[in-house]
Amino acid sequence: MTATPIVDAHHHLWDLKVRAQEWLRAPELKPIWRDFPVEELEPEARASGVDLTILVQVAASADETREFLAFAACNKLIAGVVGWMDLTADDPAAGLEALRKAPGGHMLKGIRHLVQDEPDPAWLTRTDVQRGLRAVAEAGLPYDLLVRPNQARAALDAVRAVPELTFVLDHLGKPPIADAASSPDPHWATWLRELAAERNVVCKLSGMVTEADWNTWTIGDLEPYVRTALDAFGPDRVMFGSDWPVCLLAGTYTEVFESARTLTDDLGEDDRAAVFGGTAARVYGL
Amino acid sequence: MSTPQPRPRSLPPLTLGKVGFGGAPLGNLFTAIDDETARAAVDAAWDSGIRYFDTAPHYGLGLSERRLGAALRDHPRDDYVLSTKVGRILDPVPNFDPAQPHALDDQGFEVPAAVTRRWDFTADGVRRSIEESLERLGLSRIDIAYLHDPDDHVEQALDEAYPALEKLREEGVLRAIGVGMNQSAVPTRFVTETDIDVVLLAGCYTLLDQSATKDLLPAAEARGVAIVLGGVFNSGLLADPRAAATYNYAPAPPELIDRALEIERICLEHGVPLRAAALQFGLAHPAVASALVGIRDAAQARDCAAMAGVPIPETLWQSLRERGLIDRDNEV
Repeated sequence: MTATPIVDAHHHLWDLKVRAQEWLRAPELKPIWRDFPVEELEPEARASGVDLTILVQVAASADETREFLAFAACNKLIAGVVGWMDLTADDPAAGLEALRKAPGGHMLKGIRHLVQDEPDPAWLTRTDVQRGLRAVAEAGLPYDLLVRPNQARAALDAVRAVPELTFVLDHLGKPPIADAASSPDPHWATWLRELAAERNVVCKLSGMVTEADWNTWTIGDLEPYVRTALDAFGPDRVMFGSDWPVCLLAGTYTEVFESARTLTDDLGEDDRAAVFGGTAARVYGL
Repeated sequence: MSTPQPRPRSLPPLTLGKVGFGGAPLGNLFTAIDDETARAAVDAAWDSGIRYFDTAPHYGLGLSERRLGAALRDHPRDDYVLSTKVGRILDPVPNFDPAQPHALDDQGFEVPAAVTRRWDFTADGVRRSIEESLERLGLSRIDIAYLHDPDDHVEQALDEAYPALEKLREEGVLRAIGVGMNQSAVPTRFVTETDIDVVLLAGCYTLLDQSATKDLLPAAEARGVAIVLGGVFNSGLLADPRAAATYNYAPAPPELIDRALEIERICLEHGVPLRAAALQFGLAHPAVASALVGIRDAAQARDCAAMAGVPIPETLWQSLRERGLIDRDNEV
């Protein structure tokens, strides 16, 4: 192991016998409509030199989070869980406390809710949601932010309204990489800079290949987006994540990992160590 | 018109800050908001560092003043600047029946028309207006009183209303006198013919309309009169040209939408959100002290404060100037 462990800060696991994952029934997701146990991830991650991972919630289910926590406590590769809780609950602090007291509760390193599935574009500005976010901050945990473009303004507001909470922007905010323009979408880039201007936001270098054209993407397609994110946040506020097994729709674990290495090969050694472990270790308290 | 002369200032300048809170939405402008949302908007503005708040009896027939006063009352009076306006007296509607279909205000505010507006720029009318505003606000002092929209009452506003405000300023009820209008010609008269302290200018010095550079801005600069800008988004077009856009409170003409989109495109090329450029454009003028933005909820308050802080590269203004989108001799 190197001085700074190499961390994959974003992946999932699922067992369709335990939870049906209805969203996987979409025709284009057929290739990943099967079980993905950790035994399949381990050799891939180890082959890329990854020491530790962060397992991120899939379902809006406290049951899934409890399963993940117990599982993570027994597994050497998984260093932490970004779990789900109902941010709009009457007593969000109690919900967090219950997760932490569950078996493996010490593995809870962050919270995420799939805001992108909320039909209300202003969901993140709601009083009850922001109260839930404050409870996450009080528990000393960061929050993973996953939004659609029409929720971009609301995301900015949540970040400003709860400055004491560290937000981890998942998948660079899902820019339209498939458009394959020579420069990144200016609306996305400007929004990303607005987010980066708020010191309580960090960015995950993840989910890019599935925002690109799944069959024809090249490193060149990703390059302007990676550059924009690194310029806006700086390597100390950027962390690599594979988004495995979702990434398999567009590329193998190795391809995703290696493309991120290539796209950061102009960084100094320390900066690169931050992107591939240091930032994640700091933000998730590994 | 006499040549504007710098005048001795009788008052220490008021510290307004770059962004001020425009209080028309608190009067249910276009759509109603509830008291909780209004309160949260003012609280969020305060927490974001905004310390200048503007309202008027006109805004929701007194509702904006009542809500703003209620939200500001807990703060030390010297910690913020408050402006309201005179020129419209609110008279009770006799036998007002809220059940009647015409019981809603007909001037854009979603409030019951229990009172009606009456133009009054007489000395007595101005005093009465201030008194009633103080009552609705629940405060003992107004920092700035603007003569509100005296477009059709210019001579009376100059001869009767202004001297009455001067007296109130001497008495310490007001700290500054202003005129607030959607045009620059009449305020230019006030700047040159009276000792007003400040002009609230709506919509005439923005990314889409710089007509005030021809008269008001140079006159104000020469006389040391502060300009507060209103309508920096021209009522929405510059906040988001893609939304059902309005320009100066009417549906936006297509050529202006195109121009706003073109300005936005250039802003984004420089990594600047359009609304940040719209907000900061006017602030660069030496006569401009502050820009008021209408704020409807807490999210807008926080966004405004953030937009005022977005760094804007000089090259953005250059590009806009080169493409003729802002005046070439503009002082930005």
